[in-house]
Amino acid sequence: MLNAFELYTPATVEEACRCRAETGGTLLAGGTDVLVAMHGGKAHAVLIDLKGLAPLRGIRETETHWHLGALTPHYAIEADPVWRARCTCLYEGCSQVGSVQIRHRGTLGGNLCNAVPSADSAGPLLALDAVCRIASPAGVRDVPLTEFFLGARRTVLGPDELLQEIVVPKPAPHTGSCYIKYTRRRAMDLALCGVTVLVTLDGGRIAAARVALTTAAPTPIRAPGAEAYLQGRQADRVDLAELGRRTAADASPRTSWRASTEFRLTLLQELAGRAFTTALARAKEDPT
Amino acid sequence: MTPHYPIGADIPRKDGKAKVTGRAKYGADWNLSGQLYAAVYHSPIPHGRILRLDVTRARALPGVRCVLTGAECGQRHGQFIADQPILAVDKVRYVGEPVAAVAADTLRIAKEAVALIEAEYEPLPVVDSIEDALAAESLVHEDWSQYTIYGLTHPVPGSNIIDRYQLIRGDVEQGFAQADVIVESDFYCSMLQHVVMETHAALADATDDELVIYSPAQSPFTVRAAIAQCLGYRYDQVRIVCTEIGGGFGCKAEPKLEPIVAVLSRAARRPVKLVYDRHEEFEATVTRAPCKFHLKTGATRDGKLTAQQITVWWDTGAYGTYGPRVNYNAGYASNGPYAILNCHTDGYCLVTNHSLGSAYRGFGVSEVAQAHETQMDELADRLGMDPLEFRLKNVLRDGSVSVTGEVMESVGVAQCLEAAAANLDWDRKPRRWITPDGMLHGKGIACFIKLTGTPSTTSCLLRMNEDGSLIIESASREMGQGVLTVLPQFAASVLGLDLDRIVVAPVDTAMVPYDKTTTSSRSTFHSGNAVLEAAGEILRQLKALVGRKWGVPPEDVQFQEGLFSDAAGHRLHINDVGSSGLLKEEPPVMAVGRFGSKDVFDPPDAHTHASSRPTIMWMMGAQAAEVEVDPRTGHVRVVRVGAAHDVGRAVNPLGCLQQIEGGIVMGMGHALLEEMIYRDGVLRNGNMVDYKVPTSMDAGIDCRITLVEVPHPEGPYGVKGIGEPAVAPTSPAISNAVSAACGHRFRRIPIKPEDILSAKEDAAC
Repeated sequence: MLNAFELYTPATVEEACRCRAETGGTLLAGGTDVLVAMHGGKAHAVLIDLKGLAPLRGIRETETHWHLGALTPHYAIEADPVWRARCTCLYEGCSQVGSVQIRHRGTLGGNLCNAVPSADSAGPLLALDAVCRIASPAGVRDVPLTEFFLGARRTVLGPDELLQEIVVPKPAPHTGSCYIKYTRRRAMDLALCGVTVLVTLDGGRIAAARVALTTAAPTPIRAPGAEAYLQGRQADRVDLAELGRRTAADASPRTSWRASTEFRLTLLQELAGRAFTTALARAKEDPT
Repeated sequence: MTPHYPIGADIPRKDGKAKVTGRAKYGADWNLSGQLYAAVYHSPIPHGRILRLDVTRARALPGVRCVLTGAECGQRHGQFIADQPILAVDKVRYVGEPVAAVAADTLRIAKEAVALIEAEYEPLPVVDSIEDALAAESLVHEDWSQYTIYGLTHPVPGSNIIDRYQLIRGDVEQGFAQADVIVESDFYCSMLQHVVMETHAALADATDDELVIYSPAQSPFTVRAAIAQCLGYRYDQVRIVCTEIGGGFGCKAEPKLEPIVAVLSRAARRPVKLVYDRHEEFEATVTRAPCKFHLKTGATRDGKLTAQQITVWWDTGAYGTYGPRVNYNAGYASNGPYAILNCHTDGYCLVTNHSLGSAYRGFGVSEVAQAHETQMDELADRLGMDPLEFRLKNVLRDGSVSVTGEVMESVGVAQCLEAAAANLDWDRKPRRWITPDGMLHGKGIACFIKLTGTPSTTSCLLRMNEDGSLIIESASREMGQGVLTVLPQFAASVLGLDLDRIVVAPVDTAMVPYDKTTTSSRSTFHSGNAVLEAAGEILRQLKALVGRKWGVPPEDVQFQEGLFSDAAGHRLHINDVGSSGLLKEEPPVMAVGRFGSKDVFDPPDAHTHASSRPTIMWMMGAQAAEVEVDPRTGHVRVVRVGAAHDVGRAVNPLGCLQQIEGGIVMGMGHALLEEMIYRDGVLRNGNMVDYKVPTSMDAGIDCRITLVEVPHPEGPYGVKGIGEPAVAPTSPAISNAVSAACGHRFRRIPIKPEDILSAKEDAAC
């Protein structure tokens, strides 16, 4: 049962930002986190529904970038074949969120702003070098996603700010990516750990590599040690075991009753190699 | 048309359409005008003395009509031992135990009132495991003698042992002396939750001399008896009106919310409704008790079992509920379907500060199968024998003497083992193989034996409507096992009446005749027999009416496959009885059917539990599994399950297959996924994310199923039960396959990825 709450439905981004600053209210997009928590007893006295804000909706494309409105549901990424072809890791992340129903309702913006370490879109977006376009009454500012998370359930969003868009640069030619989500069951599950690898090839050489980890630290993170190892290396000279070790060295998963640190690190080592192998194969096949 | 049509026909479930279109009305869908909404204040601590319980502020909240505490409501209840108060008295014994209950004008007010309840506790040491319970440094119940015992329960004074069970045959020491090989191991099964889609719900309308309860009760007459006893009503004053059950599996077999809404309604003089949310469902309803086993089994070099010694400890949680019955049923099944001359089983049902271990699809049979079937593989490995061959050497067959001394009849387990193995291509696959990409494959097999609770009775009433359609009144509840479809099939088999003209009435204890329970896989067997008897009587009455109309004596009226006829050429099909005017102003056509198993039951010896007939119906079956294990991530995929169950006679093969498929997916969850994790008496994963019940996306197992039909002499058309058996051998078949694949013997379920990654090859296979 939901506790009583006040609901605001701002018509403009600026109004929404001011409303948030004045009320300290909780931003509501798809509601798959906020409302579930409220049904579970968490009290949110004020909700600010963002669904009426046009600038947060839809996907815009420029020559160099995609601008994903923060309200873009996971299903939009899952359903449009362009993502599967060009940003396979993001397709793999969005298509593995919860269930069909949750993917229709839950949004990319909500997934990032909820700021949990297991967010399925976060690893892929980190690997894609996404940038968060943040709105406030003063205008917009851009923050790289690598700097967006401050800690578990904490982001850089100020009291009068909201996430308006996620800006994703179009991958260079000969780029391939892969997100592996490790779960105990095949649906309705959170990542016990996740690895995203994106590589861009220049002939046989890895011109660019980005590795992101999910449920491997208090926030979704990039793995700089693993990236440094891959960067510039001949693709056929990559030692998967070494890549695994470097990936694990970048992670700091914790032990809980869900899984031990040791187990998560073992998984990260193995999955880094698998994600790299798949990403590499995709890069080789990438025509553009 | 086969004889006795539609027995043996694939009939889609009659309740399916209403359930998938949302028309079915479950517990929470019922409302009464003027009703209040209840909320429960649950114990926040696992074990403690209640020092102060102050509900003053809750009572003062506007809109609150009634707040009750334990001191104000009724006797303790429990069908075997009356140890459980409706609301905690003096002590709390598990996190989630109801301590106080509120009825208010709205649910919101009721929940606000709960938040205003103040309590202070003196924490007591938490009995958090089987070991803690055995150590008995802290007692969950200080004095067993203060409770009324209704049966089956043998508590040990000054201990946490609420029940002891023993099964003794022959001399185990002598049996071990004859053995060439002896293996000895410990096994463990996790605590499980039923995770039914519909959480518990109840709605009561009570006065001092009348009580009506709407609830999704599996066993309405059990609930009626318990409520009447603890609240001081006569049975005629209590009505249990049954709503559709959105999943039972045992968790709705005993009263749960019913007593709480009854006392609230009686005090508030208004109808009161209570629906548990998922969190309450996990923490404050019932579970499958976790258990630990020690097994020692001996065999000769040529693979004949000589002796088996078993100790099983059940962590049945804070109150007895069905625990003693699990101890008893599982005790009888603990040796598996094998002929063993020397056996000794000790069962200990232990109370702890955990949620309540109760009935869960099989009453302990899956758990004992997990133990005896893992041990059988251990022995087969030591003997260097194929697990299937080793089992076939030892299984019960017609004329075998069981571990209780019964001469067995109608035993289909060998056929089941062979068919299950054939469904897996057992003979064409090695125990273990590795694919080129490094995946480990393994196969495993398991079988089981299960009794149905005996003695028990049932009855039904068949009423022909004025238009010639037929209503069956039976208190066997539909909970996925298909009684709403199967009981009409029995009636149709006698009467030749179209199936869509036969319906099972909704269940209300004020109207529908007595049935003991919907548990123990008993409904098709017991109620089927009752319906056959009543249908025969309906036919007799119809013949009399037909004869009168045609001017011939009833014995001259011929009847075949629904068609009445006589020598003069009169003909009337039973489907046309209504429109023919035959029933007009005649005494209504109705009949009673009754069935009981007391006559065949041989009450067990109090010490050894030996009995020449401990149950009217044994159920047996086997399943074989192939798994694929990723040795680097620990991920297990169940590739195929070959199943074969002796159903005696498949009344509705489609329904049998559906139940077995469901059982396989459920058992896969037991083997690989599900566990309720308690730490210091607190449930850590009481939600749908962290409790890993399989989803439909996990159900993609290649299930190949054979229905073995070895008819039961007392079953209707030879029927045996299949509801619980469907899941009984699944988890050991899978865990044996995982052990084979990994070359490591796993002795705990669920087997988790972490266990696989940390497993060392111990050349078990």
